[in-house]
Amino acid sequence: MTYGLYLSATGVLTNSLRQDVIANNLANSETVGFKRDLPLFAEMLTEARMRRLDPARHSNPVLENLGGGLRVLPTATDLAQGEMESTGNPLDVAIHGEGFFAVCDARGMHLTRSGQFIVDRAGRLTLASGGQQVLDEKARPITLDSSGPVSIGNDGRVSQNGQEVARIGLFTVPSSRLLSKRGAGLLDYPQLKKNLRPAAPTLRSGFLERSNVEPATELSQLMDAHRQLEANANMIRYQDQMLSRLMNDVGKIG
Amino acid sequence: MAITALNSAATGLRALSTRIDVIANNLANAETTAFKRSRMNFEDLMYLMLKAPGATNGDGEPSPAGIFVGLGVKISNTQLDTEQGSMESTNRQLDVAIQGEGFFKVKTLSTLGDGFAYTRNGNFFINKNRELVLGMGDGYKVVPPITVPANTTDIVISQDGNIDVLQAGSAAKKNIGRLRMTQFVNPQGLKVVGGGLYQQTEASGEAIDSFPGENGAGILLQGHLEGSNVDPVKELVTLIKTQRAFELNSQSIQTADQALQTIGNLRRF
Repeated sequence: MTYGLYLSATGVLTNSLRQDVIANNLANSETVGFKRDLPLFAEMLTEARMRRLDPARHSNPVLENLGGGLRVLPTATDLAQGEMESTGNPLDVAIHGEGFFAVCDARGMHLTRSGQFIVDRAGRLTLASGGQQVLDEKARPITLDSSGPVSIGNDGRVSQNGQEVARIGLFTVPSSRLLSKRGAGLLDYPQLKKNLRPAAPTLRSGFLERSNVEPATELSQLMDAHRQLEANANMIRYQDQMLSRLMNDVGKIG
Repeated sequence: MAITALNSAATGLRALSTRIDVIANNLANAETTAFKRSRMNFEDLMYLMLKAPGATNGDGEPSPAGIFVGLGVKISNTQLDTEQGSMESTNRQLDVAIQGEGFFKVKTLSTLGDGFAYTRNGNFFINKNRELVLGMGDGYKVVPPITVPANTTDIVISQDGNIDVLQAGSAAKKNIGRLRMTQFVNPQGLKVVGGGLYQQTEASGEAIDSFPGENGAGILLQGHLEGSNVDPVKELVTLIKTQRAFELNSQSIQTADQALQTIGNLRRF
């Protein structure tokens, strides 16, 4: 019976984590270039199976058939395209299609979909949020001057006074599952420099890519997570009450 | 646990309510001369790593990805939209609008930053010492100073900033100076001090002095003022979106609260 308590507890814990992930998605529903995280779950193996022990010797066959409860899978990010929002700012750039901007700071190179650029005091094209330098197609920083208005073409060409100055680098990585979020819209990838692959999505200057969080989806998920959490919590309570009966009432004399 | 969800949703509420403040200020200044709207940018906060990528599982295989839970959202900055405002004709001789890039430089109180400020509001006046000053604030003087001689009947400010005056009893125009223009590599990095004034910061870069119509600086239009660049429709749409996002985050808070309540009530008989 106490085994069931643990199974129900995994249900409460994972559904609580699911709420955390959804809360973060909703908090970022207005963050430019944000990609929603998917709280994915799977059945947990029993302790004996996880330790690769012989269930026949180390466990009870009935319990083995129950499984080990619920566990969280590695975080997956939904890279679906966000909506385009017109801003009119020539240094706002949205990516339409697969690919990322490459940016670099003191801690190394990162990828991002957030195309809010700004020209800093030294004339470098940087991210407005964290000041990371935007890299060109050969992963070099892009430098401009104050001589005139900057425009960015659909293929990533950066022009100033009608002259092409640089070309914004657009890249993909071999496996999107290995991307991990660093915060501030930045994504990390193991050994990014080696794994950069050129990509050719369309750029839209004067637009920003909105967060791809769908409020309806998130809210229904949130409600689902809440009900599952409640159901599991109720199961814990029933089992607790049953144990209480067993200990206090069964065999009571007089 | 659900506490994380509570905190994440709280960061959302805070950031979004600040955005409402920014929009309210933009809308309040929809009729302010040469006002530049601000835009609030968000970024996702750091991620809590529950399991590092590469951790070995029961089979001794490294897991390809880790488990990360985001901790909410934060305001990354407010970005000045330096887009040109529309030109409004005033037919006043001392109203000068800048068409294109650049700012007028004025001398402010020496206690305010480095003692200089920059503005695009060319609503000039002449003070009692016959100096050209800004209409708002404490009548900050234009840098370098321009003095309008007595008995002036007509003032002509050309596109390149030259100021010619006609004096009573004289038929010939007399040049009394030239308005200057200041540019910044990153005008969005200027500090907004209110009253249409901006100050140089580390982020904006050094002030680059030039003349109207030279080195990429804008030209001047006499008898005009630059209107605010606030687009009420755009602001209202953003306001609606912000309000809805705010409501969504309050839903997260309610759900997280109920989850905590459910867990808290586990031991009740």
